[in-house]
Amino acid sequence: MKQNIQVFQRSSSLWEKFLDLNPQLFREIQGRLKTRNVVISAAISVITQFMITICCLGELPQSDPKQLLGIQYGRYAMGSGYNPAYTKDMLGEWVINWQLLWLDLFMALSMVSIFTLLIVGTYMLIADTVKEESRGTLNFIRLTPQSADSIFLGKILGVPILLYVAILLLLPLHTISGLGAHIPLTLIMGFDGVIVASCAFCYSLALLWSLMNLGLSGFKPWLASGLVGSVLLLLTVTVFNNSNLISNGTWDWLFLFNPTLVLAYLIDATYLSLDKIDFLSVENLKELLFYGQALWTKASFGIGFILFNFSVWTYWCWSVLRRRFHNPDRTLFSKTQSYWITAWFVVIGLGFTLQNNKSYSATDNFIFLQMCLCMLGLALIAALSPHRQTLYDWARYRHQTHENGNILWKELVFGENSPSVIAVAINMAIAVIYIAPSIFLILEPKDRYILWGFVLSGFSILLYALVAQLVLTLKTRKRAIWSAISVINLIIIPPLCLGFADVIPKKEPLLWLFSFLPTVATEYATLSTVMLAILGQVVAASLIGLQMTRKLKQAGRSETKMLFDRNQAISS
Amino acid sequence: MNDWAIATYGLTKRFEGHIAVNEIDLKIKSGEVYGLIGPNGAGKTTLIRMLAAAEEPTKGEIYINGDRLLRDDSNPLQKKRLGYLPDDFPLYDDLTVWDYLEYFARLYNLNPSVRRRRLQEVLELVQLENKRKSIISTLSRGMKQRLSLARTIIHEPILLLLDEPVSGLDPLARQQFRQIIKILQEAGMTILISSHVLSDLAELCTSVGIMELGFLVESASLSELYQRLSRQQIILGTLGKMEILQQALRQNAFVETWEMMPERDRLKVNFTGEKQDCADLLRSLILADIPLTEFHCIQEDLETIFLKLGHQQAS
Ligand SMILES: Nc1ncnc2c1ncn2[C@@H]1O[C@H](COP(=O)(O)OP(=O)(O)OP(=O)(O)O)[C@@H](O)[C@H]1O
Ligand SMILES: [Mg+2]
Repeated sequence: MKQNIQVFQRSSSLWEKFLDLNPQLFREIQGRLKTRNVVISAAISVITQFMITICCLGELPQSDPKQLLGIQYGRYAMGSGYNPAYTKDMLGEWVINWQLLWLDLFMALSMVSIFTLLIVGTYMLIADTVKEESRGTLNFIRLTPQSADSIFLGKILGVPILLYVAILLLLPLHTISGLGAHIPLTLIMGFDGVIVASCAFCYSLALLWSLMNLGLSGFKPWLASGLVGSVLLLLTVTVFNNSNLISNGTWDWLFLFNPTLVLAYLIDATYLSLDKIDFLSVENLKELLFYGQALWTKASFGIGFILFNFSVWTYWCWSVLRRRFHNPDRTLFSKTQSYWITAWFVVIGLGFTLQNNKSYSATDNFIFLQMCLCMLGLALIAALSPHRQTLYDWARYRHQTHENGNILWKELVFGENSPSVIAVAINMAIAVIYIAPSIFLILEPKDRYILWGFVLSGFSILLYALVAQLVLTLKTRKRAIWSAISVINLIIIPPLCLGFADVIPKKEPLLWLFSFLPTVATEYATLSTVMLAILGQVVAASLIGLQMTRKLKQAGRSETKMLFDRNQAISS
Repeated sequence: MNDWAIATYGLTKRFEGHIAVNEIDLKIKSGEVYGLIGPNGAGKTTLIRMLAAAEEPTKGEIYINGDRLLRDDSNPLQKKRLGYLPDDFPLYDDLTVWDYLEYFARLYNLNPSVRRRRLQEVLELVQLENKRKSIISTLSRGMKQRLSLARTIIHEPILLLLDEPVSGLDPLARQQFRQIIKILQEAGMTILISSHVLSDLAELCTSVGIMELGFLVESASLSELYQRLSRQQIILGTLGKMEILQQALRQNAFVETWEMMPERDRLKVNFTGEKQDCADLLRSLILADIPLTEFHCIQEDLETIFLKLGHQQAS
């Protein structure tokens, strides 16, 4: 095996130089690219192509010189309907829709590539990284002068290398079948670009996932690839069989994370009739708006925006990854990062919310956006809240360690290790402030109660952040889990109780205003009720905040006492 | 400040509910071999991990050759100066010895032209040349430890941090290890070793630091430490009556106390005088016609000093 690689290396110094650039890639290739493995993956790839081709060819009419079989039906006959009858031309040859056959082949190969790349690749990356992290070898790599970028790039390019080999072997047939289906080469390449971008995004997310300390290491790769698989399957199934998928809602955003969406343009370019291909129609895709602009009418714009969407989120994944790599003990996001991420989230999310002026769907979209925002808020709470010891250390040492430790607000807004509450509040404020003007511009006056929904749920998130942070300062062992449980209880129990107690939003809106989705009640609440609810939340927040401040101060004091005892022990 | 290979200021690390390292101001000069000793749980490993940037300090600053040590992408040069051998040295079990070292040589950006030679050199140094093609999982513990040491020095660091490098080695391997350390020191490296094998440290170190409950309670050069804390002792053996010998000893002002050795005819005397006083004592005993069979000056060793300090276990 070793011999093999060395021959490989000597044969091209360019290859050698390339490997010198990235030691991690070198190591992955050295460990994986062995003749046996390459042969196996190549064989799998070739067999897959063979099977797919056979399946397609199976639909062709059999040669039947004596006319024993009667009329033959099949997918590739010229004619309307799904399974028309095959006919012969004047020369006695079957008339066959070769273009459709090529297209089917192309689609099948695309689907296979996308699914294996995303699911298997994610699994491989996570399994590898989790193994290195648990074995402790990743710590050594951290201590070397390599940047996080170069290590992770090496991993992404190197760990699924056998998968890449297999997919690369699919590429020729993929391209040929695309050209055979009369798809322009530029479009095919654009599609490939989207697949690459989706891999970049998915793999960065996978690496991030594998570096989180969740304490379920063996389970991590299965969980993640299962999740990727089911989401992808769901999105793809809806894209197929559904030529009117785009419903002008905020959730249409989700489809942009599915690379198969681009196939709509490719199919459109073949000018084949859509009754044979159950796929999202471009006509429908053209209805998708972003801030009221139809960006998806042209393939170039559409693909461009999809690439842009992937790049934005890959970039942020990558920036969190860098931080995580060097400081595995810190919170997932820095506070500054969280503001940027929220801003991007809201800017893009609102774009998909503002689809058209039909009032009823616009309010629905806003309510959906608000739910997304709540989810983001919960994620931010998890990603920003430091744990007990960190928090205590911060409270005790901030004057000595941090440059602006004496300026409390700077610490709370930008500082490392400080409580998350203010940062979460700022994130929510960014979102609400950005969204508010469009509510006034787009919605009719009677629907503007939506705004109160945003404000109230912002406050709810703030309250959850406080509770989560408070529970995280407890002395119990599994406090992360406890904190998650208490927040989930806060979300679920009030609506349940209200539901059981027959309190209907229409009659008693005030109580519902305190729930996770206050919008169900804002419609019926008067301004004064809303104000009362806000006041209530502010009071609750201040109470919990006070309690936490007291605890932090107390902790600082008891730690001082502990130090004193120790000094005594040493000197005695 | 620049002449310190390592300088820390108020270095502190707290874990849940207790302090592992407390306000340590450690100063180590360039070219020294510094031994770190202390009871289990004193915080040695934690301290070394922080110095290697493998752990984030709760508070305090670390300067390596005058440059602040930070944990991010910003200091690749500084990372090239450090070599850290942790106490649990994880390895890649699926790689061969040579591939493993080559991987790290690449991670440390060693030039392709010098890489081969350097690999050869370190393999020779740790005496693993004949194992270069072996898979790591087939090596013995001592070999793995030597391989880890080779990895630690592959990029020619100028500061070595070794956490219990000899635990689990046989006496011969330990002897070899000491040899290697001496070679490295002659090559000009500054070396920090934590170990429980005090006789090794006594042989290797120029300075010693003693940790206890997270404090650095002692940090001095080895000779200073001996001078301050170790007493001179004399072993005396006689064929005659013990009482007569004791009588004679009582007359000498430099003799503090003595104790009987288990063999009944020998004494261990704690002696405060210099070399000259020692000679005087011997002459006086001979002049007093005491039939001496043994007169033997010894120094209390590091182990005794350490035990004498009566350290507390962290608990
Ligand atoms: N990751 C950790 N989490 C919590 N406590 C820790 C952690 N690592 C070390 N400690 C604690 O810090 C203290 C110092 O540990 P450390 O490993 O530094 O001691 P040591 O001097 O190296 O001991 P030994 O001689 O046994 O190797 C111990 O009380 C230990 O329990
Ligand atoms: Mg230790």
